[in-house]
Amino acid sequence: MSDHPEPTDASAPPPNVDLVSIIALIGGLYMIRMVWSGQYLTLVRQSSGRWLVLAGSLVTVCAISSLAGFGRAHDHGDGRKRLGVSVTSLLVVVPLILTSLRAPADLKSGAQNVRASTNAVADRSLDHGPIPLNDPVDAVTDITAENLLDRAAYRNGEGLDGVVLKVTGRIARGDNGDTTVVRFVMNCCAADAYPVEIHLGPSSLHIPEVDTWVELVGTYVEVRTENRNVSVVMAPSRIVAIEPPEEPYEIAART
Amino acid sequence: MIAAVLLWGLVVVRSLLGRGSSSVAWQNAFTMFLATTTQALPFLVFGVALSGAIAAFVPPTWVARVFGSSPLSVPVAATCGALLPGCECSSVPVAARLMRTGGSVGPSLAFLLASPAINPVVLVSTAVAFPGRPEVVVARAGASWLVAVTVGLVWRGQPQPDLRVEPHDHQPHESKLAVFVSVVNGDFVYAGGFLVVGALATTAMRTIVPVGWVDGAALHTITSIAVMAFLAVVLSVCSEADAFLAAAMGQFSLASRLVFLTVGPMVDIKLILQQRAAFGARFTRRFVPLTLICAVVVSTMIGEVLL
Repeated sequence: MSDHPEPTDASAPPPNVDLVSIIALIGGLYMIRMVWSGQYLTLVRQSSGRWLVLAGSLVTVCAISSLAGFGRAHDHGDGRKRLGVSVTSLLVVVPLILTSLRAPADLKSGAQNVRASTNAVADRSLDHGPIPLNDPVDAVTDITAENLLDRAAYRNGEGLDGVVLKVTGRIARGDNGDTTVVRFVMNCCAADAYPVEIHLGPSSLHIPEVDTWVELVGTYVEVRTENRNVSVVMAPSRIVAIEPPEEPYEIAART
Repeated sequence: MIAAVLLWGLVVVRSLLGRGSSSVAWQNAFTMFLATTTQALPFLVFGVALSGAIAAFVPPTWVARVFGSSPLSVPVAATCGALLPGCECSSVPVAARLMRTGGSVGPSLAFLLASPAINPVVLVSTAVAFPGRPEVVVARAGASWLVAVTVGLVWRGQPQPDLRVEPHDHQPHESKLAVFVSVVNGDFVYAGGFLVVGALATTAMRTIVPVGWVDGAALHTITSIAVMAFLAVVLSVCSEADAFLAAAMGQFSLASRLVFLTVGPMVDIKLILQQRAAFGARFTRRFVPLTLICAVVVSTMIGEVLL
């Protein structure tokens, strides 16, 4: 027996079992739907998909079981209830409603709440070791935005001199109105993602519209630091519009 | 909660109707809210599933023995936290279930505070984020464990929190599986609601509070500690990812970043709301300040010694 008997609340209205189970069902279906629709890739890492499916399936099965009369669902609320569940519990349905009204989009640059968590300069005392460069194909080396920033900003451009690089990102406008190519790098989810900005040096190339996904081919010029925001400057030799990648975020190499 | 919901109403309206550059921030807020919720939900389900398993399959006598009233059970419970490989969203329903199933309040709270900070996943991610600096991992584990044990011991003599009402006791004739299903549904719905509120509040803070001001604070020891503690509470970053954010905050000293790593898994907006959901407002009003002060003091001292 417990040392501390559970409190009882005789005045609380009897729980509406079906509503608790229905809310749980909606929460479970939200997780499954996000993976089914692929929308989860705008929010979390691809590897989170299996956990969402697993968690969503467990909750869905439990909710359906309860609706079928197996295992009575209780809202462990605080007694201030409408319809037999606490008001707070009803908020579980909010993500499903919001994503039904409007599909989530991946983060865009140029907003303070993006820079908010990311305007720091990486700690130079931490020697991560360089992220390896890919072997060149047709004299062009694929490089991630994270690797480019890491080498440019913290390794004096190690391995970048004279190398023709190809990096994927989205066209954006920098603070000064100049054109940039931006790619967000994610550790865990979009809430901790940070943008890597690549400024384009002078060129006569056609620049696709803002928000267009592109492959930028060019050479590294310099690193630029403004208000502790670190960005990279490249001299473009080719900018090709591409289909949006399946995963809009780069996954940080060291997570 | 009402403020968070109202702020979020503004976010939704702006993101649905807004056009032009200013709407980008609101659209990002929309994404961040959903990302925070979606990332945390599997961990929450893991926690409520474990809670259901404890309720259904673990004898109360066993829980009472391991998480009993002996002073030794507090450090034992904190060490047991290493066995729960999740983030802070998992630990609240588990700790509440331990108390319901016969565990004493001190050990249960020690488990609550320690598990998000000292489990293997978090420590490995810390080691990866701070390569070649094993002392950061040791300092994080040591500070978190010490805070958990200290708060657990302080709370040993305190009354048990006002655990949320479960309208009906589970009946003896209910099968173990039926109890499991019942607890998973009930805990998920109630804790999930507070997770949503916490994600709303966190996103609203990130969108409203200008963060450029933190750079100046990094120059002074006291302000850098205060700012890192504040950021830990406001940003509510998952404990499995917070080390990478801390590693990038190179303008702050390692000691102040240890404060960030210690406070975050124990006191943050969405966690406070979940604790309030599980243990009641009266408990949270005392528990949160005690934990925050203890975490700041202990991590500052350990940081100054080890880092």
